[in-house]
Amino acid sequence: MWSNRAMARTRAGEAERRRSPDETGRVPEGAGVQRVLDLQRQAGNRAVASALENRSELARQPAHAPAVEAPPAPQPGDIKTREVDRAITETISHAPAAYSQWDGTYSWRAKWQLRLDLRAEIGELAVVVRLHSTASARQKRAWERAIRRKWSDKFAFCVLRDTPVAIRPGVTDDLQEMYPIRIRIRWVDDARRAHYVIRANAPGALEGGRAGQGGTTSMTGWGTADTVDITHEFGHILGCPEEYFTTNGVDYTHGGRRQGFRDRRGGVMNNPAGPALARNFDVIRREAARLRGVPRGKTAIRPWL
Amino acid sequence: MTAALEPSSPRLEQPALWQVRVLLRNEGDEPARIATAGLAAPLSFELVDDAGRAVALGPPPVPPSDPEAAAATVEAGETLTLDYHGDELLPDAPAPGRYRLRFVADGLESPWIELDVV
Repeated sequence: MWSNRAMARTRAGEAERRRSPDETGRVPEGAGVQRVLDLQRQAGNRAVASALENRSELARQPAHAPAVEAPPAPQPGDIKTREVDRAITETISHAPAAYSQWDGTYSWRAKWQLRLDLRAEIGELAVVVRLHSTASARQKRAWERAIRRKWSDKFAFCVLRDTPVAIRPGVTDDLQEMYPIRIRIRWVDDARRAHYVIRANAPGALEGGRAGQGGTTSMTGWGTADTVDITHEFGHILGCPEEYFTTNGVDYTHGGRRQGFRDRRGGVMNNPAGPALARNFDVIRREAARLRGVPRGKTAIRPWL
Repeated sequence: MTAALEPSSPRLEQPALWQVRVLLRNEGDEPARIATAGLAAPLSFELVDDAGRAVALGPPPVPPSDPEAAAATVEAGETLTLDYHGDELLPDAPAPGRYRLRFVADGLESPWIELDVV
């Protein structure tokens, strides 16, 4: 498929269809696919994705731009899923004296479902997290919105070409497939079906003397007045370790040049107000490589602009 | 100051359904001030298995910019009660077996309590 206005890329579904003895490699006309590909050539993946979400935008496309039809129903093999349950361990050290209690080893499990949609018209990697909470629907929406804004559609899971293609002198394209990573939170009523049970903590209630940012106290204890630190806690759910003080041997003070936590330029696992970084998708990348059936070394996490 | 633990049950089946209460009693003559930032569950408990090996707790919260900003004052002769849900310590239950748990924070240590994970 065409994903960056310049280079042709194929997705697994397409490649497999092309291997079929009945197919010549051309995408069938009349299925709407060619029209989407044409638009992708002209405007790129994001424009197409946006247009699919908001049909009214299509009306503003140039006259020669094709109309977009609903994507075809998935065929067998188009969608791959995998339940992930991976142990995560981190060791924090070298915390300043006032924070010495943070020094130690911690462990938890990253649990979610990966859903890789190989259809050219969709092409996405969804991380589906089932949560249960007794919080209000409004509260859940606020948390979910903050998490999606932080983690969704920021990076893509990519499969690399065996040999990069030269576009022009000095410019090559090494991406064979590209799937934007999207977070899907499913609030479930039955706690037994949830990957995690989220406890809603009121801010300032101190819970007998304890307090967190807006009420957030842990990976699964989220504050009812917090939509910032919970995005860090959600990072743990995705399998991210801390990125403050010294964690797993990495000095996040950069030799003492930074505070080492809640740094202005820090990523979300250092400073909850900061952005998600490519390395924060490493567990997703590993699991997605297994799901896609390619070696991890043949994959990458790249910005999804 | 002294610390004591009161679990909701000596048996832990599901962390989210289990609680432990910490009683911090000021036995001195002066009010005592305790910074609350270090009282988050993963920071203030120790759990060991039957062989005495440390069991890692869940990830800690992000450190606050000022660890002394929030504090609780315990008057002389008074007791501060802290209630912790089990899943604040352990997002997932450890393997079935016998464990020992104690509170350790701000220079305070409670006696160990026995805990059976089933």
